[in-house]
Amino acid sequence: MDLNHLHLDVDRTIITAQPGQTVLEACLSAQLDLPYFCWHPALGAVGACRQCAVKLFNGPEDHTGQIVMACMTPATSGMRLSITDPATAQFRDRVIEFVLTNHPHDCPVCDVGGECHLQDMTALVKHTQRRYRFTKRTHLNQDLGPFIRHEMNRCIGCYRCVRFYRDYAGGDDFGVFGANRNIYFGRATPGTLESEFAGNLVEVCPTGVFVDKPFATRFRRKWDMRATPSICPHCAVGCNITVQEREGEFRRVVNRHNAALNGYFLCDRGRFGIDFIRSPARLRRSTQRDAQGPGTPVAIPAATAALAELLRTNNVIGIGSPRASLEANAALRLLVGPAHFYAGVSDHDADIIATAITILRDAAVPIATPADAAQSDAVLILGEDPSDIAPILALSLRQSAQRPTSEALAIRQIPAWNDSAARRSAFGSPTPLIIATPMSTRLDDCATTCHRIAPAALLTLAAAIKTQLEHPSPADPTAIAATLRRASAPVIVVGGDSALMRAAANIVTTLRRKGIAARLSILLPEANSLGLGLFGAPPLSAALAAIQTGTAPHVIVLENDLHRRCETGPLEGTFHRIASLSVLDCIETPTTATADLAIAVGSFADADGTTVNQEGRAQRSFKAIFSTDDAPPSWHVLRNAGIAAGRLDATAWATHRELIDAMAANIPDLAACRALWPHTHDNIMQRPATLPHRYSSRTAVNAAANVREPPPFTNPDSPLGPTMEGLMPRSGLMPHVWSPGWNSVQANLKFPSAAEPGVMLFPTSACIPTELPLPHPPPPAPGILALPIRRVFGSDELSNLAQAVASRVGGPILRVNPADAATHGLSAGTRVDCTIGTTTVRRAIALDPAMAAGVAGLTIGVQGEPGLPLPGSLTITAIHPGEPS
Amino acid sequence: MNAILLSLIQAVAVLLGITLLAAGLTFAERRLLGFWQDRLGPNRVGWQGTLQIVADMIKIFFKQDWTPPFADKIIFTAAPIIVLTTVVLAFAVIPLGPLAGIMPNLNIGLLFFLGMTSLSVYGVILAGWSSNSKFALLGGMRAAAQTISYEVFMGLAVVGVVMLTGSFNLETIVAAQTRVWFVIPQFFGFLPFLIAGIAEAHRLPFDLPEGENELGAGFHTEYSSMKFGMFFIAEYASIVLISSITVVLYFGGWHGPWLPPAVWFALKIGAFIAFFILLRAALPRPRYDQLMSYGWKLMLPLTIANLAITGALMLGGIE
Amino acid sequence: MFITSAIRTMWLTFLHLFHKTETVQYPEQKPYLAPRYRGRIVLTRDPDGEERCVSCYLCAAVCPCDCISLQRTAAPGQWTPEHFRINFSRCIFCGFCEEACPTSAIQLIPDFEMSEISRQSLVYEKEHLLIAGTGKVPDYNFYRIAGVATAGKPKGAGLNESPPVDPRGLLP
Repeated sequence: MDLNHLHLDVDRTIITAQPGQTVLEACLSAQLDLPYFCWHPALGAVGACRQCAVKLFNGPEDHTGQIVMACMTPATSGMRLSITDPATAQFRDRVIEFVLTNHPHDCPVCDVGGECHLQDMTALVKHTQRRYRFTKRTHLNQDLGPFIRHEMNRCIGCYRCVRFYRDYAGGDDFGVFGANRNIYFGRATPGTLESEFAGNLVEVCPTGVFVDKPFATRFRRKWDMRATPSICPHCAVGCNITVQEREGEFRRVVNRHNAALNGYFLCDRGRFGIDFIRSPARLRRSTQRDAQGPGTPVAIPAATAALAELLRTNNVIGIGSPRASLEANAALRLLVGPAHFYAGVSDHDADIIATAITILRDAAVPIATPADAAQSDAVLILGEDPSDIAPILALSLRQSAQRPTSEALAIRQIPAWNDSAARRSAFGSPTPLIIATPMSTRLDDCATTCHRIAPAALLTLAAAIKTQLEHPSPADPTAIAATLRRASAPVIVVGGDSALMRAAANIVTTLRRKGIAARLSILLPEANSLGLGLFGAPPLSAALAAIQTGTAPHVIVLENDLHRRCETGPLEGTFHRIASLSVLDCIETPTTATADLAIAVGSFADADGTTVNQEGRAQRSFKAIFSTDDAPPSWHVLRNAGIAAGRLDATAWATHRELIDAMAANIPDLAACRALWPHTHDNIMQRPATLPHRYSSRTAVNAAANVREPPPFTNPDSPLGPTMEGLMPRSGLMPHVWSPGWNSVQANLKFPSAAEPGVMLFPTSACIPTELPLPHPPPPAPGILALPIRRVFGSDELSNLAQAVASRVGGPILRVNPADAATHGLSAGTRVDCTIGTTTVRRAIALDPAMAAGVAGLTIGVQGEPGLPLPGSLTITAIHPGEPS
Repeated sequence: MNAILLSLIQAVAVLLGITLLAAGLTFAERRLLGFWQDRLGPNRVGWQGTLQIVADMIKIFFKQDWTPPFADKIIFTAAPIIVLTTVVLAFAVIPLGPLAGIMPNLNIGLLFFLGMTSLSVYGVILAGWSSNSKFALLGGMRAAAQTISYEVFMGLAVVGVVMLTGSFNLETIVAAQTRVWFVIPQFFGFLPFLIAGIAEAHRLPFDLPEGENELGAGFHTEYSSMKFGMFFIAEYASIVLISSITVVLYFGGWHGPWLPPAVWFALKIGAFIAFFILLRAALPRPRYDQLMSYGWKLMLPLTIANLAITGALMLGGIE
Repeated sequence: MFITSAIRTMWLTFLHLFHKTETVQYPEQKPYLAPRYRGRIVLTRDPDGEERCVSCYLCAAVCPCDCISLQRTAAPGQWTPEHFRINFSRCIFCGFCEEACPTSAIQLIPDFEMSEISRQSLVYEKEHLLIAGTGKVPDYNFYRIAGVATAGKPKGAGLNESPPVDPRGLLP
């Protein structure tokens, strides 16, 4: 008998459970159907809804048994239970009946109908008849902002929303009001939910109280939408998402469980930002500058031919992109040659990315996944606020801080799943979360210590921590080293500065030498920053320098808006010299507007692609949107142009697989990408089907155009089947997480370990990481040191184009501390013109009392603004006190 | 020269008559089936649907004549020709009236008839085999087994008549029935002969070679247009043939009082044709094993007994 | 046994020659069609004259030949279909859509005379399907029973609904 597993007798069937699981988790993992409402694997159990009642027998002779709540009963070996027992079945039926007394007759007009946990559970207990004949309680709804619609009548009072929003995500503008029949879940006053995790309420709510507002504008039932596993393109965490599509139109994004990364939750930028696919700013038609002027529409074949014409000359340079897939970048690099391929990122970003690669690959510093961060027993955040750069990582860090360590729980004999007790026990003995940043962060509320230090001092602090770890001395003013030394699995989060990253890596190395399983988490700016970095291409400035020195080249820009990377002056000064500018992109940007040839290519959802997240995890996303007028993937366009120009064999990269092989042959670091879905079955029946088995309207959807049905779509690049035919896998690549009777998103709780983790390009080795030399600190710049502020909503290029996200973008601000503001005669809300480098931008002043002196934070990524050379020195050139803020 | 021309004209007349009669039967059968099932049957084209045949003919002639690519082309084309030819050839020996018919006083007339009916099954088998499809092949195999089984006692059944007349000449046989029809002395020869005749014509309830509920359309599954039409016409021609030969062997041929012989002959044949259609309207198809056991275990002993009794009575001097 | 039963069957069948035929000579004679006959599909309106269809997609989901296609309108708080299309060249008139419809919007009516020369003409859009009346269900108005608020019905104004609760009230 396997001693690591528990064995439970449920209705005369033996099921196995992991130690530490509850009876409910054990039953669900064993694919048994046991209804529940308030339990959630990430939120734990509180035993509030009384729905998961089972009968527990005390030994083989006990025939009476007792009714217990499965979610609040730890699984122990030899337990004898019954789910089918008539008394418990009746108990559960009565609970559902009570829950439904006030539930409105809304299913047909409810956006959750068909994927409603309440519907599933009602069907599961076979409750069919409403006996309650009195009036139904009603509620007024609140306007909860652009992401979430509120329909409070449907509430069943399970408390999951408030447990997620307040306890898990740390929001404080949402709560529970009233009591019993008056109970109300909402905000004190109607208004936008502030937390960037509010979108998860859609999935957390077991019924339709919180519904996805942008999705409602192009609503479809779950069974009608193609679901494709994908990777969020909005930050470097690389959360796993499922993109849902219908009739060639993007519909919505839902979470795809990946235990190592996002678990059961997504941030709102990921969930709602992908709506940029429907944005009017999408580049829909390729255009070419000709005799009639710029912007003459051309078809893709003609555009490809024009690109091939340029490629026949020998003077072509390519500029890659951190938001394009590895495939697209590799294709461009193979086409123009490594010597002419440049990474389209700023010097500062290139420096950070190169340092991250040094730390991961050369120094072999163990990296922390968000899951590691959630489990850590001490966290040190250095330099940047992960809440804005990597929201899901911040959510994980919050879990570590808000819950006691597992040791502390063990001492108090509180099981980890017992959410309420575990949280309360954290009040006296918090898990250390130390934040050392120049500006206040949004994790400050759950931090044990906050240090507001200017960047130069941060480096000194990091070096001091390392020294303290190596040679402990009583004179340790911050006590950070002592805290880290006491921990068994600390996590250090660092970002924003390459020297600081090296110093942080050295802290991890030192801790590892002491036998402490420390891990590092590096914050990188964009979805494929690390992947682009692995090509080893010089940054954008090198490309501009090359244009300045050589003869005028043809420039091919891949899915990149150079105006966001670089100040306007140097860019335009250089681009006067080029022979032609060709841009492949999926959105309209200032770069496509000035291009001689702008080719409309597919977005991440229109193509198969691989991205590498900040941990060095390579993940495949798949073509999710199928329509007859699809924009082709960039690498298809590049391949066809390369073949037409004679730069490639006619058979080069006929398939996605061959392109990956060619890429792996050129870049050994990316060879592991070949392990991602090596097999694409020729037989479509052997592929996981992306259309659900009850996909409707197939014979009517195109009938208005032509009553004859078109042939189904095909996609040779993907291991997924683009039709209804195929497998419905229960692990690995699962387009649909569905179990019979479990139509809601809660079905993924039945497959807790089924997700596809991706491939780590730099797997953690057992050996001690190498220590890295620290560069000499640069001389302090005159004036105010401006640091970039990236915001969840507003700093990311793509998500800004989504209508709902755009409405959440706040005005651009300049964050200074009150003392500095007073020196310059500024007050909160004052509009100022600030000059960084050669660019002047307008910002509203925001005061941050905790901010380090001499430092200012400047929001970046504002639509229409050029790239700013940050960090850099800032001068305030004009003050506009009279303007309304 | 005149004699040749006359018999040629006669042959063409009979041939045309048979074909038209068979075509007409397709209409008559549908009307009769309709009435027996409380329906009207085809009644739209022409007066009371009489032009239905014309419509059907136009339709069947203009259907795509499709030969499956997997079929054996030559045999596939030859099979329906064989079936139709053999059935029509058998009419050569039928006496249609006194001195009427193509070659009624052929001294091996009955043997010729048996020979032709035996040959026609080759057409069916070849059709099934050359179609190169499962259903067609199974249909062909069924036809072979069924025809061989039923031919055995069909031949034995008519031997009773031959013993009584001492001749294979059908005119002689008809002439021998002026006093009493052979159906009375040879009732137990008539019954197996009639059943075997139905089976030979693949008529319901013995249409297992076509058996549409299990075999699609049996041996002619892959046939279309006029190739199918030939099978179709041959089936109805063989109904006429079996009716005629039954009338000739057992019901006194064209003999009858008051009315002209040709009318008598037509009436008798008509009655049998109607009987065949009634069979279709009334009886379900037996299972294949039942079909075989009727043939071998019931009909064969019955005909042999009939033969033995006839022989014994003749030896005993009773005629 | 077999012989006698066969002969009896044949005799009884033969006698049908003298029975009355059941054939109805359509189109000269029109057959009687029951009100619940499953013929042409229509979209009905509620007693107030508004469209009944709330675009719940259940008819499309239940359709065995997948011949119903619709899209809910993009306007928030309004559930009428933007388009509603039935491809009658695929429809088998099974009536599942009518059974699935929670608002009695989609109904099958006793009319089957809808032949066309071209299949394309059998694709019916919403304007072809929508009728002016309530069809077989005269009284039902879904929104009076549903919990959602509509233009004419604020929260708590539906059938069997209490007025909205005051979450700030202290009474239990």
